[in-house]
Amino acid sequence: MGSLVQTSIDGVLAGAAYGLSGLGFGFVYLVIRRIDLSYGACLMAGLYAVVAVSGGNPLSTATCLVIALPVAVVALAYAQWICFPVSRTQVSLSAVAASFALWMQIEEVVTLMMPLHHYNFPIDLTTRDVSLGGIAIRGDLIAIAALAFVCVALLSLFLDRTREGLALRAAIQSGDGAALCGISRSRIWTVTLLISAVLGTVAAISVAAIDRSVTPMMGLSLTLKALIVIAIGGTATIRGALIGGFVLGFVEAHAQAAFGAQVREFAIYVLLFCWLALQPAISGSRLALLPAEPEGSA
Amino acid sequence: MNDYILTLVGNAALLSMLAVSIYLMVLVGELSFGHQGFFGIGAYSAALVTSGYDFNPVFGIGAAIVAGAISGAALAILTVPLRGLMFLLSTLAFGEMVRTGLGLWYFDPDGPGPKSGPAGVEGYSGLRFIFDSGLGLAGATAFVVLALALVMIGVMLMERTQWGARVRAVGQNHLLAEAIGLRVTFIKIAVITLSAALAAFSGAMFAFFTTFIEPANFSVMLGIHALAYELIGGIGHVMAVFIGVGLDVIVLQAVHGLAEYRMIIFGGCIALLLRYRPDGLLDVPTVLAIKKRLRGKKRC
Repeated sequence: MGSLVQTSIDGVLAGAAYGLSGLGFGFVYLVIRRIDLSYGACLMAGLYAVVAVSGGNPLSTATCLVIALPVAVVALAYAQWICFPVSRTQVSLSAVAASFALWMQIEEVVTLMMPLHHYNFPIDLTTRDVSLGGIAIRGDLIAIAALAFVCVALLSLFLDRTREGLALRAAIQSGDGAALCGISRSRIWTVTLLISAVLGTVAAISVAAIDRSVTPMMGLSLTLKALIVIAIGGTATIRGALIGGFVLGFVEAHAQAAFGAQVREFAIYVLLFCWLALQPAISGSRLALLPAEPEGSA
Repeated sequence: MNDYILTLVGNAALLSMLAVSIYLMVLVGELSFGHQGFFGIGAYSAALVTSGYDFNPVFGIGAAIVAGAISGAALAILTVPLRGLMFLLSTLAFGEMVRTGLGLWYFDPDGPGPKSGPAGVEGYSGLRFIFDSGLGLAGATAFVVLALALVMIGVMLMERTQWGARVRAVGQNHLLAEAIGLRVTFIKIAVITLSAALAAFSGAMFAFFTTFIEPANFSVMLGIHALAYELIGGIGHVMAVFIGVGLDVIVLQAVHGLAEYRMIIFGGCIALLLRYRPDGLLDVPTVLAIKKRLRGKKRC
């Protein structure tokens, strides 16, 4: 029983990082109605930059963020420029497929520059485990969950208290309406991209810190996990993305504990598929949250 | 022809066949990131029937087609309410589910002995068709190219029938198709099943073309490659996949000395092309314009 609780807590805390990546990914969809499948690869490029710059020396979380963020922003802007130009208000599935092609390209660039299959992630996250009623909670997971909650709180404050946040909320309500009122479409896109990059980079650093490694598979894994999170939690609320992350972390941790890493991967895809297939039968609301054919983009 | 060219032609033909299976999906208005899953199901089914149980390759192909059709029908039925992006995601999840599932599959059909079975992530070795049949690489390549030609002819003939027109109507506007009395759900399920069976058939060909298969062969990269052939070529005509194949082969040849940069160049080409031609080089208006011009020349 104790180990079940332990696994659940570890999974849910790690899920905060997945929730954050889902939030970053879903935020782009929510505001500008784009699904960028190269998202994970762009974040992974930032992680590889951290590994390259560190030279094997441990770096603080803030330093990792300072190195990874500009790389992720450049990669995301490149993907957006090619696949989703601002001038195009309607997005086609071809554009989504094109973003997948860019994932392939970015991953190849990264693996050519750093050809090893596995690199240790040089983050210095020295923390102390906390004991609660005989259950030891990993200090690094607590720190990661706390970081995620800080990011979410800052995002909420930004959206609620600033003029840019108000403009973003207007664009979420109606992209065309916001544009008619003089809110610059390209400015909205830029702010959205930056928010998505920050949330995604923090999430990617957290995931790399949990795994203590960076591999070329991380790009696809980050994208897929973000997709699972928004498929489960939707994109309409911040709370939804976090719940999606917690569910994913919970399932992943139990699948790994019970059956090992290979089954864990299998279980994630089964979860995603079952959720997508069963959700319309359980409730029609999910399709409303994430419509197949986006309309009213910013 | 040397072995390099033969392998290149054989692999291009296999990928083209997979791209044709995705073309069928495009006809009903959907894209797929998961056809590598059907391809893998077909490859493992054919391998198990022929190398695991020593049946004739014809039975191997039959088993692959049946397994592909069943899994395709199951996917189609389970995802009936999903369209567009959500359907695309479900196919991606399905493809990855198959790949990771094959990595968990250990099976020994006959205990220790010459017969072979899948061994998880270590793959499926001991495939002997290419040697046992006496075809050799040249014969196997010719076999695959012939199969592709037959598939192409079959799809073109299907498109000329009333059924083909109904499928296109569903793909163009499913609500309008439903309004004029077409059984949209049935047509969609039937076409996805057919498409999955074709992808599994090409997977069976792949298993016969090689001596070893592993789950990593059926990664999302394979599906993207085939989808890229289809999207680059265009959704206007089945033969358009050859444009995608041609571009890939040209890129491969042009940067032969820089083979490690191939995916970077190819990925960039796909993305740029899709930016300016979202429906590919041979989209429906282009095909109609070409047909009109050809008809005009004939009259003259």
